[in-house]
Amino acid sequence: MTALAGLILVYDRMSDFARFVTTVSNAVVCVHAAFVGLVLHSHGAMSLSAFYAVIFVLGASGALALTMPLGIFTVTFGGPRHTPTLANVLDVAGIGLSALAAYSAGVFCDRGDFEMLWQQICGFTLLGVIALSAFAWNDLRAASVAAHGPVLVTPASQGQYTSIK
Amino acid sequence: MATSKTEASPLVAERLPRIPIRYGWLPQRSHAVTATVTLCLLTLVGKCVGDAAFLSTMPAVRDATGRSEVVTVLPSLGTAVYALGKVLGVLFSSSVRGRSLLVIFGTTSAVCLLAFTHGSYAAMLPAWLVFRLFSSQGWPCFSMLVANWVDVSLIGQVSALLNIAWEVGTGGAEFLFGLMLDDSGEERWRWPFYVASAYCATMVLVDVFVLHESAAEAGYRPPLLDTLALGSGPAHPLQDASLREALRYFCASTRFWLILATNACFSAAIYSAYFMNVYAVDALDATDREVRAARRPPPTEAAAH
Repeated sequence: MTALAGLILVYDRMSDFARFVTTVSNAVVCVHAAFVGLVLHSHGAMSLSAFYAVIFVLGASGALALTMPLGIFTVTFGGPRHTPTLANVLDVAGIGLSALAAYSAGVFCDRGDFEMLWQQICGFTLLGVIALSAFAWNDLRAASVAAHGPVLVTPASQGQYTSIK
Repeated sequence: MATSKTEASPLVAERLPRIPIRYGWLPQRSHAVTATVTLCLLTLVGKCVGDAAFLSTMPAVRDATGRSEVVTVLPSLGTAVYALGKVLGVLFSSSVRGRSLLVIFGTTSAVCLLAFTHGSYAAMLPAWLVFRLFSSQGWPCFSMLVANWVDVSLIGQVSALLNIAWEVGTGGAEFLFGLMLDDSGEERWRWPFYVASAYCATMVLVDVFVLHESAAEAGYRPPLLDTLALGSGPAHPLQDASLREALRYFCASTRFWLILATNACFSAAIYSAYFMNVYAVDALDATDREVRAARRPPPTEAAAH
């Protein structure tokens, strides 16, 4: 929440490249936090305080990396009419995979196999970070080409919409 | 599918003299601030009330069913119904009438649930499933309001503010739930119901006065946008597109697939991380207790006596 509050004043004034760097660096911090948690658990060095620190960094960087691009993309790409359609489509995929993830995580917890739980979190975070970085790079390219109107680039995107008709 | 750049929609200028008087009550100068603050308040209260209602059902459902197998199946069942709500949302949320339904369903579900739960706990499960179905439209509903109210140049700041309101609402829900549990008496339990009622009344007003468009207005640009001169840029490419055209447009975009994968993977990681509380209690808390016990000096003979 603190990280999001920091973005309120600066996000819309940042350059295209600065937004790209902010998004990707937060994603990288997020995946590193997950793997630090896995390593600490694997070596038996995880304590409650270290766990809280890892979860805090994971949550802060993950929230910043995911919520801003996703929210802005949904609103700007869907437009006034089709934003809820796009939000629903994206959520269907997210919930479908989450249901499977929650089931397997529950199974791991029942068995007491927390190593696998950490590995699952690291795996999904890593895949998410790769996809997010690719998205941010794609969006940066869209900002320069301006073919469809960039998404993370908000002020410059005005006047660059195209018609599908 | 042409990709030529479009000019600003002439419909905007044409419609300006015909602005209905019913939108005149909104402040003209501080429109951006008004819209943002209103959105944040709606988000905060909606998330708070909705989550508190959701949390309040879980112990009651467990009590009503009383079988561990059902409790194990419930999260999956709830998720399946939630996904069904999303699919229904895809189908009907792109039309004007569908958007009205979206707002009403997405925001009155908390009240419906709280009203249900006031009755017999034996009826909790269907009420809970209905709530999961309707509450799936919460975030699409807020996204739609942002898309209709907020100027493109402010979208980053408003998104950050909304996300903060969302998180504060989540924390507030825990607080509300705690208040419900503290006292099982009727008097204290019922007041979240009144908060939810006021919230839903506000959202219905938003739906009626802001999002609703008459049949004469062919476009999907809400009158409020034109009235407040927000987003006076060119029309969005999907403004007049049908559902099929919009889905085709989404699928043709690389960024759509990438953000879909991002959302799916991060959501799966977050859902997995929910089980970290089990890890903290079973693995870490027990270990910490053992470590503290080992570090503690053995009791002396006198202390033992």
